[in-house]
Order: sequence, then C-alpha cells, then structure tokens
Amino acid sequence: MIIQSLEEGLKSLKFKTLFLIGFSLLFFFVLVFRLYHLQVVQGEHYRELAHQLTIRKHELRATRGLIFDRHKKPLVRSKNIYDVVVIPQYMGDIKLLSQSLAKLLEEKPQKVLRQLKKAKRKAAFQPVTLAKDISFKKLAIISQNSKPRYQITDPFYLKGVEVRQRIGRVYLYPEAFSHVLGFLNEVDGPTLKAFQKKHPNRLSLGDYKGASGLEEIYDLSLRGFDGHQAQIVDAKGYAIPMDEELQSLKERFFQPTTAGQAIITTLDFATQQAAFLAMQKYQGAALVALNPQNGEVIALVSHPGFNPNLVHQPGYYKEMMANRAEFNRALFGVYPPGSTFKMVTALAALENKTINPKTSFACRGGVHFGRLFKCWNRGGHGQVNLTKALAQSCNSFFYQLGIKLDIDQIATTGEKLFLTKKTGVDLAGENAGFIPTKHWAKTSTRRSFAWQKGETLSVAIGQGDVRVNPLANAVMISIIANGGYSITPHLIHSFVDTDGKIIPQKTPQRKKLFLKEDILAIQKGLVDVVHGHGTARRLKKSPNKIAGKTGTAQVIGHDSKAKKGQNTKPHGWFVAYAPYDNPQIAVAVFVEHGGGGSVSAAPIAQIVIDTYLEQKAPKP
Amino acid sequence: MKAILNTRVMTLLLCLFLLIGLGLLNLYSATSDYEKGYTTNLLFRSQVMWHAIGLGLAVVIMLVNYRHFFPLAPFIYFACVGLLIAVLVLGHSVSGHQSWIRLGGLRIQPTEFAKIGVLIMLAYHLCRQNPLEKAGFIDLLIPFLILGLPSGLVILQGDLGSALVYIFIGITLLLVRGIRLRVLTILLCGTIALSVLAYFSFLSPYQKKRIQTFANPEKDPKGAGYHLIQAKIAIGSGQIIGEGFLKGKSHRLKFIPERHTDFIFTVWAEEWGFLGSVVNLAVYLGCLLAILAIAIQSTDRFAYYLSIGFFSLFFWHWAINLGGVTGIMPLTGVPLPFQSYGGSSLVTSWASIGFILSLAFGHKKTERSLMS
Repeated sequence: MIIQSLEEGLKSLKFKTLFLIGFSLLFFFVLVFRLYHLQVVQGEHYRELAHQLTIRKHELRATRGLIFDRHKKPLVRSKNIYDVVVIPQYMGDIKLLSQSLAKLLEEKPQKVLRQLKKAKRKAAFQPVTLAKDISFKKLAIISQNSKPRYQITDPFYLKGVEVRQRIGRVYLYPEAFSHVLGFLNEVDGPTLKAFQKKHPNRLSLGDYKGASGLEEIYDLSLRGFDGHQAQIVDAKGYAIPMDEELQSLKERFFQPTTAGQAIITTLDFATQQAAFLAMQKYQGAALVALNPQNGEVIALVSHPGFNPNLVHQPGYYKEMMANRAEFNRALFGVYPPGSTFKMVTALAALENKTINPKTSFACRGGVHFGRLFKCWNRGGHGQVNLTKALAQSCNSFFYQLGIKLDIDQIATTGEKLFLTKKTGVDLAGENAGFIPTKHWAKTSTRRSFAWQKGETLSVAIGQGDVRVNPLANAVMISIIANGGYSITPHLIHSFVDTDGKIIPQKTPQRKKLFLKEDILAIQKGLVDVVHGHGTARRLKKSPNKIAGKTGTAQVIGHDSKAKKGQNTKPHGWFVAYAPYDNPQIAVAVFVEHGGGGSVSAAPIAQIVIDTYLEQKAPKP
Repeated sequence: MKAILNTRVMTLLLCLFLLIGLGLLNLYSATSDYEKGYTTNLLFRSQVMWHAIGLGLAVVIMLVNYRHFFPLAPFIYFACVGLLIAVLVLGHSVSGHQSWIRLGGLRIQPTEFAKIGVLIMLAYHLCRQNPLEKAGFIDLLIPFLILGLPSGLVILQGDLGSALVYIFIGITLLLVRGIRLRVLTILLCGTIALSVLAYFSFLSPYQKKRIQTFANPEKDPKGAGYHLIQAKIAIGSGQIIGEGFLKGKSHRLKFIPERHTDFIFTVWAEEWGFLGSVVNLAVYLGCLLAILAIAIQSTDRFAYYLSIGFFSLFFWHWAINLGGVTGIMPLTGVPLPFQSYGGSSLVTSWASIGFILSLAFGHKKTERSLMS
C-alpha cells in the first residue's frame, strides 16, 4: 500500500471544521432553547410538581358538629376513639411484631402478618390502621409497652406501633332518636366519587359520612372543613428532619381545620322520648308531631328503633336488618289511612260545593250501591250531618259523598293536603302516598279494568287503594288545625357556628289552600270526636283540649281472604291537634296491626300532646 | 513559551478550569448527605483525588510528542480490546452493567479508556488511506471493523450508551474524512431499514420500553419513565435563577436517581436555574470550540484526525448526556465529562486534554521521521 504524505489533502480536510463548529453551535442553541422551555416557560409547573412530590399531606380531621334538641339539650356527644396504627418505616421485625399484635388484638397471627406485609408495600411514613376503636384495656397495654428500645425480656414487641386518637360520635338516646338523627358510615368508593365531584376536598377515603337522618342531610354543615399538615418526605417516602427552609415550606402547606357547625333542631326531647316509650307494646308504630303553625317537627319516631352506636358491629347490623329496624316507618312507610281519610273526602265535597256544612243524610247501617256498603254501626246512625259523621265516623255519610263526588276530585284535594306528594321535609327518602285516579285506573298495568264507581265509595272511607304516609298525614292534620295554610315540615331551628354565633333558619312561607268556613266545618267535627259523643271520647280526660280523628284500616279487603300466617289485625290511626282553640301541636300516630285507632293510636297521641303542652308551650 | 501558550490553548485552559470549578461545586452539593449534615463527603474527596491523578497524567501526555503515538496506535487499540474482553470474563456488574474490573483496591471501567484507543486507531487507519479520494465501501470496511469490535464488546456488557459514543466518534471521523455520496446514501437508507427491522424483530421488550419511554415518559411515571420525569421536574423547578446552592430539593430528597453521575446536570439546573445552566453550557461550548481551533492549526492529517476525534469524544458525551436528561434524546447512561462523578471517566477526560495539548504544542515541530 502506498502511504500518502500526511500533509496531503489537509486543506480540504480542515475546511470541514466549519461544519463541526456550526453543528456545535446548533446543538448549543437547541439545548438552550430546550432549557428555556423547561425552566422558564414550564418552570412554574415543574416547581409545583416538585412540591407535590416532596410534600405529603397529612390530613387533619375536623370535629363534627353536635346536634341539640329545641331546648339545647345535646342529643349526641363526641368521644375519643383510639385506633391502632403501624408506621411502616419504623416497624422492624414484622414476624415478631405480628405475634405481639396478634396476642394484643386477639387476632390470628397470620392475618396480622398479612396486614403488616401489605403495609410494608405502602408509603413508608403513612400510618396503616390495624384495629379500630380498641378498648381501654388494650389501650393501656399498648401504651405501657411502647418503649423506644426493645429488650428480649419485654412481653410485647411493638416497634412502629402507635395509638391514634380520633373523634367519634356517641348517640345519647340511641333507640328513640335513631331514625331522625341517623348514623355515620365509612364512605365507600362510589359514594366518595360522586360526593367529591359535587364537593371537592370535603371527603376523603376512610372518612365517616352521614348515612341517614339529619346526619345525612346536613352532613356538609356538620362535617366542617378538614385541614392538612405537610410532611416532607424523600423518594422512598421516609419523613426527613427539617431545616429552616423546609420548615417554612411546611408552614406554607399547613391548613387548620374548621369544626363543623352544631345544629339546634326543632325536636323536643321529652316529647320524642315519651312517644317512643308509649309505642313499645306494639310490633311497629310511627309518630310525627308538628307545630301546625310553622311546620316545626316536634317529634318524629319510628318503632322499632335501633342503636346507632352499635351499627358498626357486624352482628348487630345483621340483627337490625332482619328486624327491619332501619326502616323509618314515619318517613318511608305508606299505609291504608282508614277513617282519617274521611276529612279529605269531606273537604273535597265542601270545596266542590257538593255539600254544605249543614247537609245531612240518613244512615240505616249502610248504603246500597251495586252491593251493600256497610256502616260499622249495623243499627245505623240515623240522620247524620258532617259534624256527627266525623265525630262518630259514620261510613254511610261518606258513602253518599262518594256517590256524589268524582274520584279525581278527591285525589285533587288529597294532593293539596300533601297526601300524594312529598312534604319537602329535610330528611332523605321520603315516600309520597297514593290516591287512585281515573287516569291511573286506565293506565295501570296492575289492573285490567277502568275505574268503577263503587271503588270511589271505598276510597271515600279510606279503604281500597289509598295509601298515606304518616308524615304526610301529620301535615294534613296541621293544615286542618291551622285554618287551611300549607306548611313545610322541617327539623332545623338554627345552626351554631364554631364561634358560638347562632344562624337561625327561615321558616318557609305559608300559603292559603282552603276556605276558612270549609276548614271550620271539619274542625267542628274533629272537636266532637273527643268532646262530643265521638270515637275518641276517652281523651276527654286529658287536661288539654284535643281535637282529632281516629282511623282503623282493614288490612284485607272486603272480598279477599287472609293468607296463612298473615296478621289480619287492622292498623290503628289517630290524627289530632291541641289545644283546639289555639293549636300548638298536631300529631299523626300510626300503629301497625294495633287494632282500632281509638284504643291503640289515640292514647299515644294523648301522651305526646300532654307531654309537649305540659312544658308551657316551649319555644326553642 | 509565548508560542506554546497561544490564545487557543489559553482559551481551552480557561474554559476547562471554569468547567472543573463549577463541576466540583455542583458535585459537592449533589453528594452532600442531607440527613447527616454536609460533613461526610467521601465521594467529593475521591473526585478531587481523581482530578489530581488525571492532571498528572495529562501533563505527562502533554510532554510527549503526539507523533510518537502514531506507530503505537494498533498496540494501544488491541490493549484496549483486550481489557474489554477481560471485563467480560473477570468483571463484575454495578446496576446492571458488567463494566467494572477490580485493580487492587480500585474499580476501573475500561470502557472509558477504550474510547481513546478506538479514536487513535481510527485516526491512524484513516491516515493510511488515500486522502484525495472519497471513501467507498471497501475503504469503510476496516474502519467498521475497528469500531465494531469494541462496540460489540461494550454492548455485551450492557452499556448501550458507551457503544453509542464509539459509533458516533467513528461516524464523525468518517464524515470528516469524506465518503462518496452514493455510498453514504445507501448506508443511510440501509441503517434506517435495519433499525425499523430491528425494532420489530430483534429488540428485547426492555429495550423497546426504553424507546417508548422516551416518546412518552408520563405513561409510566413510577417505572421506566421515572428517571426522565424526575430529571425534567428537577431541571424545570430551577426556573430562571434556581433554588440556590445546596438548596435543590429534588436531589436533596433523593428523587433524582444517579444524581452524582449521569444526572449531575439536573442538580446544577435545579440549583442555578436557567441562567446558571446557560453559563454551564457556554463554558463547555468554549472548550469544544477551543479544541476545534487547535484542530485547524494541525500540520498533518494524523494531528487533525486526532483532534477531531477528541473533539467528538467531548461533544458526543455532552450531547448524549444533556440530550437525554432534558428529554430531547433517549436516555442512555453516559457521564458528563468533568462534571459527573467517576474516576475512569475523569482520568479519560484528563488524558484527552493531555493529548489535545500535546497536539497544540507539537504543530510546529515536523519530525516526519517518527511516522514513516
């Protein structure tokens, strides 16, 4: 091979240096441009990201607001609850730890070991809960044995184990107030997702949220605002000691908690408690007591009740579900109203000028309309006007109204009285009642024939397809009591801020629904139920001037037979208000299979009315 | 003496000492253990020691006339190849790369030294080709073998980044030497076709993941994309003026992996911001341009090829490292000369500087007898 001179061709080679200079400069500017983009254009964004990576938020839970009755008597209380947690970064020998913890918590060692292994995979500084709400005995053992240094002679190895305190809820009067106050439940995934969409940052995983009653409806006010504390951690999640600069960073990310608002309810503790006790001898019952003037709920009881303090124990929850104790009869239940519905029929007739207060019919123990529609008094009531018909609950009089009225007219009046629509109470899950209409008869898939006139006669005395909700019946009797004005039942009197400031809630506007003289005609009959020769004359012995209407709802229709084992005892109803010259309380009582309303429901109503009025017209 | 310390050499030395200064400053911050205070800093002290060794080596090389290396080129080259084979046989692996061998109490990385061996051999071979003709396929055969042997050995060690440096140095030298346009076009098309084919048939899922991660690092933030995302966050959060010396959070809180080696620039960018980063880049660019300025003064082809070789050694480390951490190129672990921690890399860089100075001082003397 001929080796060329080393100087040859050097010039043309050197010319290429220019390209290399150009290429170096080009790459330099590309890098500068790239850094400009990362550090200047997107710098803010990346610094924010850097903070998110280094600062782990440690949630601080706000104290939940308390709930009071109208006399500011507390119905719930806060309690310190102790949970056992383990902090993964500090636990040493997890085998030894699991054995100690299993002995302490009375669990299987394998189960604890599995929990600890799972914890180890999570962020090292984030505590993992091992046991909730431990007893004081266990608390004492854990605190006594938590030592900075483990010695072989120590009975328990508890490295990394801590007891964390949180504030829990105690319901002071568990059974009587169970349905109206509700209870708290640990929030589940779907609920959390839906909630966070509506109210971001108000709820996080592992939080407790109101699951029913007032706890559910006013959850946002009661829960307050959680805060957070920053913890600075490194890439492995280890918390690291602070210097001055990191301290300031930590302070910048500190957000104190704001405790939840307390609620002063319109409930009257004594009345609610008395109602609940009076119901105990029946298998099921519901009561709603309202202030007929403004719709304040004085008492709202459903029997059987449950103990919200125990619902988190699996055994108790099962038992409660088996009893249907979680079912709020006052709010969710709809039942045949019996004779309490006669007021509706009468009001429909008066409104439509079918009758006037003086119209009378003769009762001869029943009315022939296709078949014999029987009055409960086989001997007949003789000549009966509206007052006497209501007082003695004469079926014949209302059959006559049924013949004269159209079913749709009854349904319209019933709707005005909130019997077929929601009353708008501040509780979740309210069920509206039902009054049949011709349109329904035609379109319902449950029947194959058009409305029969005879059915209107059954509806006129509260039998047939009519269903009424106890709360709605209380609203109905309130409207009669207050002279024909609409009311909206509500449970909140005021909120109390953390600084003690009371924020009263506005009472909803009332609207005139019925003519004064129509209402007066009904009221006259209701007074005679107790004070005339009426169906609830035994309540005359009350010191308070009670007016009301009994109801006895047949469980099975006149042409159907009872199924085997079915309780055929009718439901008892009593709707009442007192004093009748200046109504301050209106009550609807429903007793499941309690028999006649005058013997089952009426005495409960009297106890409730007497208890309430005895306190000399209490005002919140 | 005046002739020796001309402006080009002065510029190179000035930029180099600035670079070493900021490199050490930054390494001090990167290796400080936040939890233990700033006292125990073994890595930093070891780096200073390597600087001293490197400087000594550079002075020795500088004093030797570069022409003496011409006949030695094949021996140096095969010695390096031998070392690379030794690594595969005797070496032990650190973080997935089997590229270290123990020499007494020291761990050395022959991959680094071999870079110099490869470029000297290539320069030697190119000098033996006809400079008046552009290279055809046959002329490229031996250069490809010279490059292919060490690259293959390095890839077997699992060190893709270093193999890339070998290949890029080779390509740079061959382009400077001149290749026929037709040959170049065919090679280019062939390479593209081969890469596409390789991606779909030869590459392991791990290697594919690397490429996909580069395209979209946010897809897998905890896994393969972790390095790049953390690097971008650290660089970006420096903003314009930086968080300040010793105050960079990302590296202090250990979010940046390999923060004192391959990702050393992210520490600088976080603490000194955009302005500091531009200064860092400019100082390095100054070194590169000074080397090119020295190259232009070459009095023979061997000197020119050698200086371009050392230029591309510094350039490609810079480009591959910074392109990787800023996310404009795929991440392949190569050190940033004079800034990353690491004895082998530092000694290699110092040796390269020694060669460049030897070239600068040797231009005037024409002792052809040594080379023919």
